[in-house]
Amino acid sequence: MAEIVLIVMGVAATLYAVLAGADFGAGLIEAFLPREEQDRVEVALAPVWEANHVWLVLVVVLAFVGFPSLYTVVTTYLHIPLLGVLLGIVARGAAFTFRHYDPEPSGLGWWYSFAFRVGSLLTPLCIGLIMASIASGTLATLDSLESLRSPGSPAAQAELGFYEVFIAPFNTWFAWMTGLFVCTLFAFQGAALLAAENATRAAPLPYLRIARYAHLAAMLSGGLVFLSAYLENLPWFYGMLASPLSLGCMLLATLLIPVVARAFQRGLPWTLRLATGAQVSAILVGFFAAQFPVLVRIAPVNVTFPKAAAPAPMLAQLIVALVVGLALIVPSTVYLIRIYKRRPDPA
Amino acid sequence: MEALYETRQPAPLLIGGIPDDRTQSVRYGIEIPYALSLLAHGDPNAQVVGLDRIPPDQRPPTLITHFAFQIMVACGTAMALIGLAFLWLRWKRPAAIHTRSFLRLVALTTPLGFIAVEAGWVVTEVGRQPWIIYGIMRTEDAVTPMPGLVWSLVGTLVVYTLLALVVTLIMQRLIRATEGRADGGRRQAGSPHAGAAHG
Repeated sequence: MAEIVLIVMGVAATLYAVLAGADFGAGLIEAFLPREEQDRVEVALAPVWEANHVWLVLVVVLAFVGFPSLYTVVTTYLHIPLLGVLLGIVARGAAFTFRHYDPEPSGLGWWYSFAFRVGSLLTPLCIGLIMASIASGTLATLDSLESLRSPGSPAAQAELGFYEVFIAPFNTWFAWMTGLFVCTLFAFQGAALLAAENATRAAPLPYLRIARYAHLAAMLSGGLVFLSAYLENLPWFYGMLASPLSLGCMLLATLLIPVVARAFQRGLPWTLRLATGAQVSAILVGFFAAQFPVLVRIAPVNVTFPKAAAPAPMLAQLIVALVVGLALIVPSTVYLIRIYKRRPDPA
Repeated sequence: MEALYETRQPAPLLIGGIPDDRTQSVRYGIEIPYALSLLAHGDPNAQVVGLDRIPPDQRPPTLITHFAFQIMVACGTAMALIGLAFLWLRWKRPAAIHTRSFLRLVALTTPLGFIAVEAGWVVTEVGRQPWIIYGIMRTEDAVTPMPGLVWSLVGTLVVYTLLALVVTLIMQRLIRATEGRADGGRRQAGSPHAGAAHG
């Protein structure tokens, strides 16, 4: 039963990464588009912007109910990046809505764009920081750190300040490179989304060029993630090499690169959407498979599967709730997307 | 909520009053005999357990809880009475409904619902102390070990205050834009953004 909850969590996280990733990415590249294209971005994003948060909320709730210690560790020790994710989402949503409804866009227009872009940058960056922190082994509970301070031990000399416990775990090269990678990955997805949305138009050229740069940037920063993991001697790196699932996922993501490139050039929107979606899913699964069954690496005791799961009756009720919820959500989401796709192009 | 310091049989319902935790007594206030027993147990002669039966370290702050509860009930009663007044006036003296004083009264009633809800929340959240899960976990044991969360709270409050200000500003602008006033070069109703369909 815990497997089912974990799989649903994984699917929801992947859906969020694919759908919202494109949203954030579009926000990231919006600044690089010519003026007239920037309004089209708004039209493309509008339909599913708010609906995507369902998946994020689902992941959080499944963690809270199904894997309480995972939830506890992340919300206690990674409070700051989590707050960053939240503020980014709020800034984006607010700026987007305000810009749309304000009848006098001149005065605050600069601020809207600023909030929108900063928000689009902050959230993927912090998502990367969180992902890296739970895999890097830099986290440690407050109790375990304090117990290290027995008199005479070298750790006793170390300052046990706020920085060491709550900031240092994500202030590593690996974490920042992962943050950068998530940004570039989302930017690429955003460009892919926009290119697909505009495939029927005569000149999708700005999107193609930006998509190529974003793709290149994503591959480069992906390499930096591995490099920093290797240089910092992280168990995650060796776990990645040792896990056939991880290696398979990374291989799949790499093999999809030419598929994506061709879909861009030939202007095949659905191939593009599916290929980039598959790439993101593969990357996510590969990342976490590198340390499975460890869910969060934290001293002194890692949060592992299935020990971290809630008691069986809890899981049973959760699964019932999930079935009911998904039966409502999935058809509604499909319907929502279909209605918005049927709108006439306002160009 | 009821500021019942002693277990009483039968127990009166207290309206108003200022409870004092140090002396375990209530000053002023109007007591309605038998009413609390009736409300709590359906029997005017039932015994209602007071705070004296609860260990001192498990008692919530009575002053705040009692006040908030009284405010909530007062707001609810006021709104109900004004509703009844409206119905009665509509039946007997319909013209009175359109007078300035009645309309002003109704307008003043508007925030009462919100105040009542917030007061109710204060009752539940202060009244539950010291428990965060009643009988199982105390609030002090549930607090996160991370220090400095007050900055998180301050930051969030600042962000949401800012959002509220911008929302108000935009609503003002929308009202102005659709009022159809022509002063200077101000935009008229029918701006390209107003009325656009948006999810």
